[in-house]
Amino acid sequence: MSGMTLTFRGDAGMAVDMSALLPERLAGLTAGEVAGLPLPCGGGVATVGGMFEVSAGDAAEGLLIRPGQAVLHRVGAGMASGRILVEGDAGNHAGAGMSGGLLRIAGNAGDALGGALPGLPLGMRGGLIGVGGSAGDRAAERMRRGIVVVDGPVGAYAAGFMVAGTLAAGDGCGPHPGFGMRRGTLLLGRAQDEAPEGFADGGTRDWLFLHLLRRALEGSGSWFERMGTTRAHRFIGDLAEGGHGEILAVA
Amino acid sequence: MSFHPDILCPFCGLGCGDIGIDRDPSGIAPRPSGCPQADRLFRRSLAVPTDARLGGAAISMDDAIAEAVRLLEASCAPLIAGLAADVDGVLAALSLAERVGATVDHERSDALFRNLSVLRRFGWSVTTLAELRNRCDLVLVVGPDPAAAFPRLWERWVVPEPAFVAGKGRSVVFLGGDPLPETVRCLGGRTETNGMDTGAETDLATLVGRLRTALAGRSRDGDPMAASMAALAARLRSARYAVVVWAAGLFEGPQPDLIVEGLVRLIRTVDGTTRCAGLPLSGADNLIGANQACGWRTGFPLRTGFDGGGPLHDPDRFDWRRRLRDADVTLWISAFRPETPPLATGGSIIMLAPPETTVAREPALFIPVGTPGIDHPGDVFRADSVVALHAGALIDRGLPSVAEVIGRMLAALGRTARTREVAGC
Amino acid sequence: MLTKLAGGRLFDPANGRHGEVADLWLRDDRIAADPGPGATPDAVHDVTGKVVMAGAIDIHSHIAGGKVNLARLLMGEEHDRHRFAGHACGHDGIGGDRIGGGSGIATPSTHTTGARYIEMGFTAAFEPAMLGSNARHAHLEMSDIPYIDTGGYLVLGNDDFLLDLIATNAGQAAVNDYVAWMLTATQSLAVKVVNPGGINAFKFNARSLDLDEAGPHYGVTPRSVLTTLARAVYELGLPHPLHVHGCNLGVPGNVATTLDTIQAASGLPMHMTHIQFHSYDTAGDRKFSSGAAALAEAVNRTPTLSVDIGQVMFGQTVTASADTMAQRHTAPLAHPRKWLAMDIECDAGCGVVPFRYRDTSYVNALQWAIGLELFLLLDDPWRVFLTTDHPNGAPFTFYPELIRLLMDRDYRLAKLAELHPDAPAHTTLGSIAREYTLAEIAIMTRAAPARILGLADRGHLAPGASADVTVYSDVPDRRAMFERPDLVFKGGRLVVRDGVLVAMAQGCTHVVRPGYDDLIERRIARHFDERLGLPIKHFRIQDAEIRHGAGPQLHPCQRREVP
Repeated sequence: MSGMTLTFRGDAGMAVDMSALLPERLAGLTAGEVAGLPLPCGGGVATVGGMFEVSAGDAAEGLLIRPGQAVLHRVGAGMASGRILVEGDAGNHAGAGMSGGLLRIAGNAGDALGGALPGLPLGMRGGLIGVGGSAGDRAAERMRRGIVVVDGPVGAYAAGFMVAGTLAAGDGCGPHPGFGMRRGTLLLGRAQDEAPEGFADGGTRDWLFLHLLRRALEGSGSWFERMGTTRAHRFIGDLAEGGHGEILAVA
Repeated sequence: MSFHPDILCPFCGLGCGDIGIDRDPSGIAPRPSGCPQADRLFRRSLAVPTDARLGGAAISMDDAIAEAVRLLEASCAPLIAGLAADVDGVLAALSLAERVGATVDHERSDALFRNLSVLRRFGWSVTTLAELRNRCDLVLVVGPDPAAAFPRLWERWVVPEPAFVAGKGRSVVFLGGDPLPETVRCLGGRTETNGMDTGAETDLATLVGRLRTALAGRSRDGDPMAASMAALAARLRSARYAVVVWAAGLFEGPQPDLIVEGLVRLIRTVDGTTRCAGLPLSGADNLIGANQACGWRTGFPLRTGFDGGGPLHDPDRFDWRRRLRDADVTLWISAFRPETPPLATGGSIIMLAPPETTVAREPALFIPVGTPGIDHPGDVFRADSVVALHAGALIDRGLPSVAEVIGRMLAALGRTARTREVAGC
Repeated sequence: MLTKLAGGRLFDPANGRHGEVADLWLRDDRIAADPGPGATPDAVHDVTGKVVMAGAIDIHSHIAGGKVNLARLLMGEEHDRHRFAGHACGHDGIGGDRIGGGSGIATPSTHTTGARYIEMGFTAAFEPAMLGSNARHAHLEMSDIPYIDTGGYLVLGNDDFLLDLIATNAGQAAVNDYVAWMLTATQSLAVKVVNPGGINAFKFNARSLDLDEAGPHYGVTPRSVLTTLARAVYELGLPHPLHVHGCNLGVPGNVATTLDTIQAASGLPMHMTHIQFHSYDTAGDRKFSSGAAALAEAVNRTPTLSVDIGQVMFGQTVTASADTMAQRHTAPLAHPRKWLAMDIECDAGCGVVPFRYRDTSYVNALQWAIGLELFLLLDDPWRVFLTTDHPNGAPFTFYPELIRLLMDRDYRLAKLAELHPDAPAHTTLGSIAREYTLAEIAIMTRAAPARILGLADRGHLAPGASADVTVYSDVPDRRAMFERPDLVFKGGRLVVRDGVLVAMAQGCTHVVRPGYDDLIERRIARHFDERLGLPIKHFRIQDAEIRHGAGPQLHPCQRREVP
């Protein structure tokens, strides 16, 4: 895609906070200007240019990130508009607190994908996240709106304390899905016979919601588009929260 | 030979103020206190090596300070961790961190953040030890018995007769963990002890969820625990002042702060109609005091660093175990106990610790320091975070305090501020 | 060191000066008399045409202790957005030449608190709700705040020991001894009562408690707690009256409670704090209206009463209070949506609720107007104090804006017009013409607070006073004027010049030392052993623990008899 590219060239394993590098913040800046911006990493602050090779291009047209061996945290966190593509793995808190725009991660995502940054009471409230690989624990935690689609599995506590929105995990999830869920949807690409912990059985049928979701994900290349199903086993909860969230496991 | 009664214990965080200490020319020893930590950690010899060590060889304190300053001044990504010191020691460490651009963290902060992260994003409803002791008629213990980390908890804060509970006294229910044998003995006949029969279910998140479901008046079909959870929910609702006690540092499984959040939500539900509060226990080696001091000095909790723009908090990036990997110099402070964990780092270590400390790997620089409450007076916070206590000195072994050592480093660092521009400097 | 401030206009109401032109001499840390024609000052500042006052004193500001530190933790978003780098300021010796970095506006960290206050020309601020069980923590924080004098008001009136003394008719003498012992052990300056009996009642699940309602368990009314403590304070000879945070804070209709509370004092001195929050009536379809007129009238005709306002200003802040009962009612309105509460050590409690006051909210708009009505309707600037109950009404950094509202009627009316459209009709603020004068501001922010706290050598500019001096440019925009003094001296040292910190200084901690009969200590020791699980010697704070060994500044007490 056209736009700006950031290729990591620092030390392997370096933990970087990417939250300042959003298309809306970098729009209109030259490669030189972006290279001079501060970038929190490890125990201190470096410059973007010290950690990344910055190609010419306008980030408003898209931001391509090549992580290499870095652990990039908070990619797209708080993004309001624009497109970010990660050609590789992302660390924790990718897309946390996002309110709009598109974040695509070709590889795996760490914990708290589309979740909430530490200390904040509210999570993602808009936008679309797509992950080609797997995601860690706490995906879509405290989500209020938006769609997160993960082709692989997600870890423990998926859709924890979710208020609304959709998390779709192509290859199932770890323990305690929907912990504290109030509303919203956790869609699992694996069959589920037993109700997950804290959820009541709501029967199996064709669901209108899944038709709408399929339309929303048209062209995304996600597992859900490929699977093409709209029939699922529905579970309602979290009963502990008095919740009316749903876990839909494809039938 | 002299006997010193009512000595304050600074170690686990319960702040017991009744330790008896015998002192003679060879050192100090505690009278049996009922606590294995006090019994062990108050045993100190008067004759200890007081030399600093550079690569294992003895050097003068002046030279040690100079070497520490040399290392810190040249560092690009320093870490100040361990942070097990009295309040003055922690404040000195914070001043030093600001001067050299270090991040700070306490060795035991993992347990703290399991609770703190919930407080910061959701809120907190808690009580303190004297309220537990006097007003509580139902104790619900969640997870492993906290006495494993706080040995005299039951003896000092639950067994004594409550002042404001009418009738038959109080009950203690254990959910998701069995009381230790000592706990059962201690609580004895005076307190009704009940381990919740949860069958094969041991997962704490599941148990907390089931109890919350029962409190919401719901249950899942075919849940074998439904009846006992409903009964426990009813007991909580009919208690006058229920206290939920937990030691988050002992929780197993991933993302334990989410279990803690479940507990706070549970407490809030019960507190809507009767009184209910939590008593989260964490806090050995003045962990709580270190967090308080960091809070008032920087405005942020532990895991805070100093970039050019002021203090910056990042609980993930500044976790000391993560930082060890990229830190080029680590100042490890551990004044209470003569033991340190393995410190896997590629950088140099400056260690401030009691002279009796055995190290797996000799640090680049070792500076012996005194223990607060033994070698010098110092302030420590109790685990329930409100009460701060002033522990006095018992013996003089010529050991400086952490605050003194760091004060000398600060003086030697000179008056000009160091601006750290770039991490990769 | 001899300093001369030449040709300024001195506003020194305690000594009868309201803008007279005169030189002011500082010798070392004290104001000095004119040394005569042969004197050679080390520094001369030409302050011709400028306004010279003593350093300002904030008598009610939550700046140190457990609930403040908890509030910092809860206000993480604000702290992330407002971080301040440390920097050098002058060459005063090792460790003393830098102001540390910090963060926060509503809950600033210690160095930031001191810096923000001294930059506005405040040289003292007092923590009005210090719990005995948390006093050591509060003192540790206070000694980490640079520049300003501090002190703590000890919270009593919900502690089980006191309620037991009252319930068992132990007698006023026993109460007096207990209060005196506690003040001494906790190194406190005054006695504060917060929702008398109410915080304790809440521990027994009472969700409200009226002035004449018997509390659960002890069966003691708030009125009796109030009168017992007011009497203790008077008889012990404490300079500052009982500092009262009354019942029913924030409840519509509570002006009646406040008027009854004034009655209850029956002639004993009493200071009622943040009365704006206690001035609500229930008229109109929203059942929320101003009771300021009635309250101001009652205060005006009761010379034994003093009040501070607790003004609300619009924006994001946090409410932090010992009043767990009131805070439980505020919790559902939290913004951001999170809050915390704590029951504390058979002592009191705390509740912290982040809050945002909006001028588009009818209730908030009226609260703003009510506070200003009270300021403007209260006659005697010697008995009215300028506070926002920091941070409950607004951060203390809003004081210059508040002063402008009091001194500039046009500005005030313009602000009134910006509020929720229904608010102006429900307040008399629009018709009040009064504008505070500089002399009145000087009384309200310097001379009067020093007097009411018994700080004989603060708040004025006579020889012998502490050389805490603030110099302002006299500009029409009073906010700009009070926001940025030209010069600020603390203890004779120039610390602020043109809004910039140029040197470090440390204030002192003020405490009272009333006497008591030692016999009470046996009783208290038993309480500590049996109830609190803590030998009394570990509770007591020694002088050497205050200000890193410097010790407290003591204020003597002269026993009095109730007439």
